[in-house]
Amino acid sequence: MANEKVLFESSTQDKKARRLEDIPLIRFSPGEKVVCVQRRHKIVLIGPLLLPIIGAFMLLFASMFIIQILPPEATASFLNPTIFAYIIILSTSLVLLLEAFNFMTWYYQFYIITNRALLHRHFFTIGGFYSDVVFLDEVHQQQITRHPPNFICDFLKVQDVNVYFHKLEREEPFIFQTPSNAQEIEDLLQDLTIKHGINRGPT
Amino acid sequence: MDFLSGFIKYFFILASGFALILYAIVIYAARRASLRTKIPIPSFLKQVIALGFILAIFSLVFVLLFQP
Repeated sequence: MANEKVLFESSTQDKKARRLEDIPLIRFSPGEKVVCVQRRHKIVLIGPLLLPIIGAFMLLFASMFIIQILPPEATASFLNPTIFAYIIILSTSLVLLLEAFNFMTWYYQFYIITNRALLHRHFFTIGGFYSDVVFLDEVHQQQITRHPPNFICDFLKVQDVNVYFHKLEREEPFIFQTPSNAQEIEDLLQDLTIKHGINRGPT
Repeated sequence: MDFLSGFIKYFFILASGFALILYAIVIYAARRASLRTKIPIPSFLKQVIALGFILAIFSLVFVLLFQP
């Protein structure tokens, strides 16, 4: 489990793996410190990575099948091997682009828990910057639930964590979608809720 | 047939150009995310992007040099 929170050892200048909590992903207010940083579970990568490859193969087979069933006169220009070679090269390039895009969308997306806030940040975005922040000093946590989004995630013990607040403070729950360690997040949120409750004192 | 082959050629040029633009956008967004988070892009991913970019350039050169 600890390995999931370690970065890829990708940089030749930085051979030592660093924890995600040690990286300054957000700006801190005085007294704020990071409790937990997680990415989404690796299982969510399988679909987006396999889909472009499967789609490209299906299109290739479909086009070959169509060329087989059409009369030769209709496909005279399309049977040119130059066009086939071009289509394969361009399709490969686009598939690689989609794979890189899907991977980086996962790689630069974080759930961050500090002692004062819950954050969901996308750093790899094409149009703009995505951030969802809930300040724990301002809202009261009502309920924390964990449930798997589908039976495959249930089988692999991968769960969503939903945090519900007072309806007047925040209607929609803050959702940790398939984080890499849902149990850790739930435990930390329970601790934070208890601490905030103690700090506020009896009402 | 001349119109068809010309249409095909220019359509492929546009498609290759569009692929190159998409690559430029994704590379820019990746660099921005890497700079903002101080997390470097994984080396295998750089290789994938480089390979795809080279294939996109090659497809453009291919369609310009070889008349489909």
